[in-house]
Amino acid sequence: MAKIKVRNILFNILAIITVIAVLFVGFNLITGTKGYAVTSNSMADSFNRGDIVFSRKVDFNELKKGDVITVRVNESGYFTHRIVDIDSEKRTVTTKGDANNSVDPMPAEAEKIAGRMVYSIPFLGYISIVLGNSSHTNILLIIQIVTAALLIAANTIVSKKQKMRGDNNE
Amino acid sequence: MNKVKRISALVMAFMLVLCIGYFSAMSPTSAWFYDSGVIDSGNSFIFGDLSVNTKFVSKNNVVFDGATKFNDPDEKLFDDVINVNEIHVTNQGTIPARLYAGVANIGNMKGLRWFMYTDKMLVDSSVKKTIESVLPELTDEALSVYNVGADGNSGSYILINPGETLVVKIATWIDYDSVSKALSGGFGIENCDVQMTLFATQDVDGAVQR
Repeated sequence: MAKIKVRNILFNILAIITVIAVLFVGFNLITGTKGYAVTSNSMADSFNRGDIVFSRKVDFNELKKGDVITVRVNESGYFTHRIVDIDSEKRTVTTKGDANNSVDPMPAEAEKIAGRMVYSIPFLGYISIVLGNSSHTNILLIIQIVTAALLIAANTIVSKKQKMRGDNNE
Repeated sequence: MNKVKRISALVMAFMLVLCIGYFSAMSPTSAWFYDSGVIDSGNSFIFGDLSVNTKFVSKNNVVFDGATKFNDPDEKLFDDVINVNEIHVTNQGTIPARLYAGVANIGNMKGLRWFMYTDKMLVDSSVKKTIESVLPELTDEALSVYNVGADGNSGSYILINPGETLVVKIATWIDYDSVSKALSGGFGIENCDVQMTLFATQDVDGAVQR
């Protein structure tokens, strides 16, 4: 009886977490909001290493001083800093980390701006920081497949056992 | 009902793992961790993630034994003539850092050249052979591009892992061709005022403030 209770509680917890996670991921995918795991403290106080910032692409003309934007540095590198100046003619913005004493060395060009920060969530970025490199991502994919296979196998075994018990009882 | 629950649990577990996959695949975002603080003495450069000095400046009066030509294959005394400054660099932060260098002549001496390296990089214990191994051709232009990049704001760097201390060496020398006329007129190459600057940044491509 107690076993069933525990199982039910675990099932409910899993259900709640899954629903929240799926809704959250779905919302971000539908609204075109992209998450970035924060790996440094240059924006300390606004957000810290280990947080996730979610940015959404906006038109350059919509940007204003004080906005926090994510800028693409190279194919896989980004930084997220606050706009301190906008040059509308050159279509560039000058950015600065809240915790940095000086502005960033190069103005960010409009086409390199990946998005304006919409919101941030603390600590979730550690998932990406810990698992985030390509080799870890491959490992994660394997874990996913193995987990799914184990769950299916466990499910099949439990079903068969129950069926056998049922047959014996009869 | 149990069967429905089991299938639901299976689907949920799989969905949850997919969601974790979504989070783990997020791009990292970071920033250059510049700080206006400057260390202006000693031979140690210690920095962290932020809130500490990330720039090291050392001003030296270098006495060179002679001018030399790194691009002359017949120059055999190159390693004997160069001046080598050692700086102990420590990364006390939690993320890998790139160390860039800049060397400027703050006196009247012409023809100052430089090259940053660590002992691990050395080829046959020779700075000249090491320079030959990293440059596509032995020209001033190639050396300059190697040192500071084509844009003057990037160039070669040394990666320092968290908690690691490296002895970074900066070799400086006076290019013979730049001073040969002055030398023949009695001009000496002692008392060359050199400013060496080290910059620590995150391990991300981009420009550095020199």
